[in-house]
Amino acid sequence: MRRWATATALIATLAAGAAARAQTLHRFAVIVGNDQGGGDTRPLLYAGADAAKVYDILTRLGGVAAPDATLIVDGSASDVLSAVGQVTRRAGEAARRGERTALFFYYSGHAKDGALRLGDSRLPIDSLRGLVAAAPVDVRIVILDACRSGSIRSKGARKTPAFAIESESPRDAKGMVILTSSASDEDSQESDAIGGSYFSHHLASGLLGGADRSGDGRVTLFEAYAYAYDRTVADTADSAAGAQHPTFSYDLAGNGDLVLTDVAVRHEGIYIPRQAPGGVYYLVDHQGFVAAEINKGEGVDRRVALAPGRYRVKRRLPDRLRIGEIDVTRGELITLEEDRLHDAPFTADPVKGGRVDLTSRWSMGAGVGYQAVFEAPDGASLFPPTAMIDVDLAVRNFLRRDWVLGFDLAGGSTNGVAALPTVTTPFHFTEASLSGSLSVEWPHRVLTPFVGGRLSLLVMSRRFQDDAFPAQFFATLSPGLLGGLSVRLSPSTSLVARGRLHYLLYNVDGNRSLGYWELATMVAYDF
Amino acid sequence: MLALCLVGLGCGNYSNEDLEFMAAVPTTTQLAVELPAAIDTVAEAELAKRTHDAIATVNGALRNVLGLVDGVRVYTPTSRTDDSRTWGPFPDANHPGWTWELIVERDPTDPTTFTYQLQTQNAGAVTGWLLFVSGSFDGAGGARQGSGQVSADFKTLSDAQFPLDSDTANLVDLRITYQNFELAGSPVEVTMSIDSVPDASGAATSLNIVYEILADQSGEMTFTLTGNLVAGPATEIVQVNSQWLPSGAGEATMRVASGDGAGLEQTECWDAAFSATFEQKPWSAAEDLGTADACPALPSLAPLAP
Repeated sequence: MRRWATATALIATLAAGAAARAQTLHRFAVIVGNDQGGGDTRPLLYAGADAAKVYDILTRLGGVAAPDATLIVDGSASDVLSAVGQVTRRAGEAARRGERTALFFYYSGHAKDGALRLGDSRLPIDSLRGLVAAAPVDVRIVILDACRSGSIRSKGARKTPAFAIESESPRDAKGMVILTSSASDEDSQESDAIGGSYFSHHLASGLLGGADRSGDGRVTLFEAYAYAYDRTVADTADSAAGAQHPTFSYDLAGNGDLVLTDVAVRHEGIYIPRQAPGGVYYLVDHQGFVAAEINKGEGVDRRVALAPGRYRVKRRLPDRLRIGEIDVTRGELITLEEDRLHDAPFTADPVKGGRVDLTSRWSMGAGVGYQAVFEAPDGASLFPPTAMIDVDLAVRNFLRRDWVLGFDLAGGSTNGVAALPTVTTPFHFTEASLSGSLSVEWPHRVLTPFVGGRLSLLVMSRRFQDDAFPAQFFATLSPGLLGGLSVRLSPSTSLVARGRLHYLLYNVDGNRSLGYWELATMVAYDF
Repeated sequence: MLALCLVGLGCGNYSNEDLEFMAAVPTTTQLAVELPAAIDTVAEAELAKRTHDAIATVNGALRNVLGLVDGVRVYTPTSRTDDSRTWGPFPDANHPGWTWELIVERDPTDPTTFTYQLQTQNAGAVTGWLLFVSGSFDGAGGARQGSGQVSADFKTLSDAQFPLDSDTANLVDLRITYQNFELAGSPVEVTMSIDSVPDASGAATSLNIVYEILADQSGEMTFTLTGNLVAGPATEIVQVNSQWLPSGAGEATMRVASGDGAGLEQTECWDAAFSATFEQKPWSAAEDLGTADACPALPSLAPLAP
């Protein structure tokens, strides 16, 4: 019943086309997000999350029935083509039934050299546009949140020509709307604080109600774009990558403006009344990320169609924050009165930023190395140079982007000789180590340098050929530094060369500070 | 040490210094004599058998003295200083109530010179530690090359009611001097003197043995026997010199120093099975056998100092 009510409301607001106004607009959606863009790009953090957010909004508020919406996260180009093909067939069936139809295509991810980059696969933008243009629907809305990138916080790939979307509607795009997150020569950027790309974040905030400039409870295409444009430009104006200007081209072929979301239909969320102070309201979810960022003007009200849950509210003043907490319950519109908020210092900012559950990537490697103590021959008489076999397990972007948390298990053995003033005796030396490391890497197209710290638990033992001497062992924790270079051989395989310097406190025959170096190479596989 | 392990600050017994202190005390196998056993002891040549008996005496004495040190040394030192290591006190599993302690010290002015002492104590006694084994080692010759001396005081133990076994109950003391040089053939040369309480038969109270071991386990031994070994009423004192190859084949000469037939000399050769191949026994010509050509070719060794 609720879905029917949504459809009914949408019918009533589908702008000016008089003939079309009486008809239901059957909406289909293909929503795609992919953090990976192939070996020559650096992974994104929030593309998949952005897609999921847009999917939630369109199915909850945008009149897209769940069976008519397809969400593809980390899929390939063929997955996308298959989904578009299925939607096209279903839209064709609806059209034959006499229904008016609309197709949403949203993409967040890498784009480069005229193609969307979905992992290791590519989808040429011309092909996509042709496919969408050929779809038997009345309205086509394509939203692309992608670009090139060259700096850390930028979203996308290398310094090559950005993907080109013509700013004027092409001839074959009657009834087509295209929104892009940035101009053709700009980077699109992500933010850890908001947990998404600036453009998708502000587009989502607008669709949730922030863009409802008319105050009628419905967010139209133009309202959403205008809101996303203003907020994206404002947020990125001072960024290192430069301001980001979303673009908009359209030919609605007489359909007029289009309602994208109906924030009143569910009568659920937060209502910021007219008398509430103006400014930017941050509505922060339980994870500490901004679910919606609403720029409320003085003397206007805003309805924000948030899903049920507990939210913290923040409004920033020049010298302090105003924060509070509000529970959104199902089927209720909760009014945010100003007296729900209280003054708080900036240190109490509820926005945490930095997601830990996005794009963590595991890799495993195996290799060989060689280590030796510096104080040879005395040191070598204790701990002889040894070849080591090493197995590594690492997770990237778990603690922070481009941080690598690693664990490794290594072992080796060799023969040595204790050559001392009154005794010379050969022995067999064995070493095992269990280590943890934290390193920072700087991914590039093929080469990725990295440096970090490491802590090893070393267990060393030796057995003497002379039975008169008992076996000996030594165990200690050894801190060290590491650095190296990873060379990408394929999208999932790398050759790693690295060096390590470790401190070793030897304290059996008195305290002695020893050091050892290690060179190693290994092959790593990314899962 | 366990606490250090738990906090990761370094723990273990991994030590080069320990090796030097351990190497200062000779092991049983380092000074022991190896001669293949005779398969048929009934048919064994006479002087070959006496050589085997002398070797058994030597190795037994080493086991009773240095074997104790070997048993202690397998453990990690209990305490360390710059110039000493101490093992124990450890309880003696074979002699309840007795504990042992080994202390090895290095001369701070001469880091290649070591002294050591193995001492025991009865848990119920008030006499304190009883010194059983003491010795020294001068490793000036280089890695495990040097000379040393070991002495064991059995009388002190027996006086303190230490339960000595039957092999050592009559011993008074044991003195060993040795030198161990990595020269050609790696000879180990040992002089061992054992004093014992005379038994009812008035058997020998002193036994002197000198032996030399080469790296290939061939060797030479000179020892003295006392007894009625030559027909006649007197008790003879005879000196035996044996030399053998790694196979066991060897030659021995027994010279009567006093008693009946003083000045007589018996010469015997045997093969790897310890069967006599040449026998020349002036006081019993009927036992003569073969010719000297049947003797094995033995290397020339420097004469042993008796």
